[in-house]
Amino acid sequence: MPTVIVIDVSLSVTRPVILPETGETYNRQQLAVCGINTLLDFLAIHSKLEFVSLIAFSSLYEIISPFTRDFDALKLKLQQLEEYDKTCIETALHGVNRLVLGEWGNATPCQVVLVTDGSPGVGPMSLKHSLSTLAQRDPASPFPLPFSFPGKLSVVCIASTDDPGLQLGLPLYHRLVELAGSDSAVLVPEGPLSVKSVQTMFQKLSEANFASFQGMLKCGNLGSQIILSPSPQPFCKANDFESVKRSISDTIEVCGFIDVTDVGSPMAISRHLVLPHPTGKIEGISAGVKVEVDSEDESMVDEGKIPSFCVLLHGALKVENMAALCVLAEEWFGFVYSWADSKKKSNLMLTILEPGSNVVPWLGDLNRLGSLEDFHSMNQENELEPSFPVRPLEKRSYSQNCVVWIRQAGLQSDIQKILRHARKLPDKTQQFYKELNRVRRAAISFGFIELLDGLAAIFERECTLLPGTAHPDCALQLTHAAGVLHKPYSRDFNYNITALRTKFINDD
Amino acid sequence: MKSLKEIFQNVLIQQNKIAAGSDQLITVHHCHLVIINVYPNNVESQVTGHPPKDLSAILTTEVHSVKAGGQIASKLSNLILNHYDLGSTTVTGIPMKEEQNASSSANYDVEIFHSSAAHTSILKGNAADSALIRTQREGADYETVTLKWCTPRGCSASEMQNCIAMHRITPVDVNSRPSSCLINFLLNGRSVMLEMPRKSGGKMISHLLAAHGGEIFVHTLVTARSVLEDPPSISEGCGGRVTDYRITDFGVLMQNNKLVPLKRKFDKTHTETPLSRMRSRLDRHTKYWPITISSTFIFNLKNYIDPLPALLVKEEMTDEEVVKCKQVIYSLINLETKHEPLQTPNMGQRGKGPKREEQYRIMWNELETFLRANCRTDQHNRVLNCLLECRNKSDDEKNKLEKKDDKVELDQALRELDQFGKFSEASPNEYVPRATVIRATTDSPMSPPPISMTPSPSVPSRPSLLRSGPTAGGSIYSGPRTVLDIWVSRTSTEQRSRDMRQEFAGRLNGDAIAGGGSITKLYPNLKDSDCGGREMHIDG
Repeated sequence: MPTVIVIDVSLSVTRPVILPETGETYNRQQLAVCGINTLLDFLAIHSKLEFVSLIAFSSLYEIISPFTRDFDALKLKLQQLEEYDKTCIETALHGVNRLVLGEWGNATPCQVVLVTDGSPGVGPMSLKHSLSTLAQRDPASPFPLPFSFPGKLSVVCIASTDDPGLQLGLPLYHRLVELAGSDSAVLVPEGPLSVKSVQTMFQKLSEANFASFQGMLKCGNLGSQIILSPSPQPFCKANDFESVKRSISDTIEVCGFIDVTDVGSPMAISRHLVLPHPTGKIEGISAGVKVEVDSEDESMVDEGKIPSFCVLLHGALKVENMAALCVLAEEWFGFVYSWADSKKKSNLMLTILEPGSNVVPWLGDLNRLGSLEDFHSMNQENELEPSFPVRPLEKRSYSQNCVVWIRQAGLQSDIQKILRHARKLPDKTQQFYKELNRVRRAAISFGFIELLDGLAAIFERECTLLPGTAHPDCALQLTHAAGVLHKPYSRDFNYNITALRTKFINDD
Repeated sequence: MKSLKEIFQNVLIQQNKIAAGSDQLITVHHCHLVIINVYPNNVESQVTGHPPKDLSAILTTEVHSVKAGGQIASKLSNLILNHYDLGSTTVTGIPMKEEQNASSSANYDVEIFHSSAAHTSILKGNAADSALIRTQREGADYETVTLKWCTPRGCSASEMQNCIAMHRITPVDVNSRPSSCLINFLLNGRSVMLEMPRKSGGKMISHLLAAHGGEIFVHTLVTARSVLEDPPSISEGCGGRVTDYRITDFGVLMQNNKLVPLKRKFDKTHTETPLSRMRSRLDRHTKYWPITISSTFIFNLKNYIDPLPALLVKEEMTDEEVVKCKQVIYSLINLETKHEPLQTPNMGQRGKGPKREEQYRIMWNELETFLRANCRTDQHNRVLNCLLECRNKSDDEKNKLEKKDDKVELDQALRELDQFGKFSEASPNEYVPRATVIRATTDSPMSPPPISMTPSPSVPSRPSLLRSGPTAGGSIYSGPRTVLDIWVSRTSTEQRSRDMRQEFAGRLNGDAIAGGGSITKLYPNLKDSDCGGREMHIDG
């Protein structure tokens, strides 16, 4: 999950703080940088694949670093921050929206960590001013919260709890995170302001928001400890009468396998890399032969050499071009399959479907999927073996040959079709009469009786225009059809115009 | 028209009053009334339309006036966009062959309707890009998003696309020639990618049109940068450098556990769904399933043991299947008595492999582990008993074995097998002790010690057992004990280790030192006048 760190570089951040531990003087920005480094260190250990971007703001904002996985480079940039004028949080949040939308679009969940000194600014464009003018926004440029992407805002204040500025600002920050929604929060260091208290606060923030997902991928008795990257977010959805919030369980169990072509590309709420956990030991699972490593040897044994079920599963899924259907939680499913970004590096990928068992129409109810053997044991009579896709009961209008004459072109194209067949008589005799009867029935249903006479006239005219090379049947059939169309019995809906018999070889 | 609206409003208020006084009814909070006045083509309408207007807090009205011929259809399709929250996409540049002129193809446009949510990802992104693709359609009062047909290489519907939303579609002109051409193309199983131009130049694929089971869907694909870009390869992670995974075998397991839609409903009384049956099925299929080739022996002997593994993982076995399994065991016994080596196609890379006697020992033990893991019915038990009987286990011992807790035994077996795995990494010489370790595996802590060990209480621990060599180990399996066995088992540990392995020369010749241990001079012959050996080596 990409992270944007937004750091306040207004003048007020340079206020000095005398550290209680050593008596040294730091300014708040230095403390903030210490804290952010804690966060970056945490990410470097737990989520190496995260992207982090850095924005500095005062009355304007500046993208110090675009999204990167190079945490050391970010740390270096943090050392080079300068001070500017006053705090203006709204501008910064607009900047965040623009940056994230441009980079990740509006569907990727992102974390936003706003680091400020607890003073929400003064005058126009201060946080107080922004919040008081919420109702007077132009719909074209709304307030930047909630974010235009699924985002979570953490406001981190580098201020001690007894700071009078913070006392003023805190309610405003709370209002801000309320607007941001989705479990956003305000963090204030516990106790007096010090390097340690700030680091503890950031450590807490990291553990709460950036912890990686650790779990188990199981297939019967085989399994392996895994990490999902990025870690899956709880699923929240407000339905008509209730709001749903669910998280996936830490055991992902394979239930069976489906060809990738049958799976199609179902809608997914997120995708995650499935990485085997390096220290993952398989416990309580008794299958296969596992090399267990004595604790003292652990560091020496190359983890690349310990067989992992994930690698086996990946290899087989890739070779067979299949996907594994997995249960993620009760009534919640996903697919695990081999995925390659470039052609060379492939990895195991988990696609999380929307919760529910009926989320992919062409697979049917996922709880009703079973083995062929089960099918055979249930069906004594020789029924056809079931296969994907599951077809809906009703046929769609576009897959039926229905008559639509809402525009002139619709009627014209139907008549042209009959004439096209007419010119290719006798090869297209069947199609000619099929189309003719279709149009005739539609005309009778609509009460458009004039069309029948019109058609007859068209056929008679066609007869006179036939080229000399035309088959004699052509004229015969057209005259026959025109003749029948003039007859009153052809106005009966149930009547079917049939071809004139022109061959009497096998007469009976 | 005004009176019509007022009548409606009054009825609505009346109904709400009734609902307010009732326990079962809820009041209407808001109502949107759309009046469409349809008039004949040859008459001028007296009614003028107006856009939605709030008549009161609970009623919004709009009026449309259209000619019966030609206008009503387009008016209705315009109205449904709002009422069903639909969006319009025009697929442009569809190449189609003309019937008259089959060699060339012309480009057509087809307009489709679908849920407006299909567009959110591209319209809410970059404003400049979305302005480029939104156009007003002629004669329509709504916007359509124009996306270009494209059929790129290396990107198809048969792969898992990163799809964040999917919605059903319908063509606006159901039976126009271009529409039906596109629809049939899709219904025949092919898919179409749609791409949008970008202001910054270049294009990107934003949607996928594909039919699934006779229904056509538009899949919204992720157009933004992926958080998963530049992922590590699985071979870089843990287990990535192991090269002998049983991938083909797992592929077979996957094919055997393929999911199919079961149309007929399971018995209502059946609490278990087909999918949960599938989970227990997978559980059965993986009771004993070594994941690498080097950690198994029996699964490399397919030509000998098939179809036994496939039959044994079944939930229940028929008599016929039991007979088949027994036949496998009998034929293996037969081979063993004929002293035929077991041919393993995959063992080639590991040198000449174990000797024939060890082969059989390893095979019997692993087979027993496999049978025990899969022993779930009486029929399965019959196969296991057959194996045990064939290997001359006394009835008494067998009965005890059966009563044992399966789990403990299996764990023990696996722990021992791990040891076995470790040894296999070492030199081929180690195969000798390995066979003995394997022997230990099938015995749980509760089972009586192996026959050959009983008379020799001086050999209590495994390390000494490891050194006991092939003679002692071999007798356990090759039938009743011989005089040699008894003699061997009665000799002391010291004696035996001396017999089996020559003591290191340095230790034998060393000068004892004060603190215990001994010192031996290295290369005692180095300074000797006779250096012939070395010179010869250079010359030769």
